[in-house]
Amino acid sequence: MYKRWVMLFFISLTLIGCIYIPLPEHGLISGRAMIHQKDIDALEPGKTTLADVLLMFGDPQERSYNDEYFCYNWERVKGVLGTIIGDAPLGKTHYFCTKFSQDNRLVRRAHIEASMWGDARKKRDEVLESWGKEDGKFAEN
Amino acid sequence: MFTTKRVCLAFLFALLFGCTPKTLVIENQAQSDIMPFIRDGITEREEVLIRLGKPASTYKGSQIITYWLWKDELGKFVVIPKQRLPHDMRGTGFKENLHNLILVFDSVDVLERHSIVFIR
Repeated sequence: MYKRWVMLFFISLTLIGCIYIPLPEHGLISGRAMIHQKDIDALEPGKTTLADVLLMFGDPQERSYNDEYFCYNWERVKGVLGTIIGDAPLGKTHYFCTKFSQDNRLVRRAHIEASMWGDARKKRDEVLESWGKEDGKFAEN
Repeated sequence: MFTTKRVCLAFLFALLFGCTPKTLVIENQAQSDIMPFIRDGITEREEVLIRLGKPASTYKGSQIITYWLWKDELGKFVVIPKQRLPHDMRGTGFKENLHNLILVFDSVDVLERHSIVFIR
């Protein structure tokens, strides 16, 4: 009987002390700005150039040493985590990555986002690896 | 009950209007409003380097150069070194005044195209 009360006490503490409220994606936690899917879709592989991408989105946060790969990233609010001591927004990270050919034409493009508790960076690395990026290294830009 | 409703409404409004996502805006007319000396087909690389100094980034053997511009309280644009940019651009009030100037030169170092990317 005593054990049951102790267990109930801890369960209620967990429930009251920490609550996650999911919200529709909004706002911006980090990154310069969000990039809209329609702008990504407007890019045409084989036609769009590296200069076009830079003129449209500005300096990427990450670039490979030979400028074959660019990655932009941003984080948006996806929910709020409430605890006894306060609450904090929980973010969802997005990556927009591109691959260019030797003649500076766009070869591949992808908008990468992980699930709520997933690792977007890991997913980004997997996508880039599938595109042929071997070293996994980026130069901060 | 009435008060609870009002609090909920205020919270909803804050969510909808207080956290509007920042999106990229591009200024790309032939002559820049922000930097009038920048004119496609006319401005030479040398003039840009003299006026704005060392670029923040260069691409494809300096065919493309970029700068970060900061809009001060008087509305004047000044070049800021890349090292002064916060790593992840957190915080409000900073990003809104930051402009990214992209300049693409042709084979004879004359400005071919340019854009100024900023957020709103």
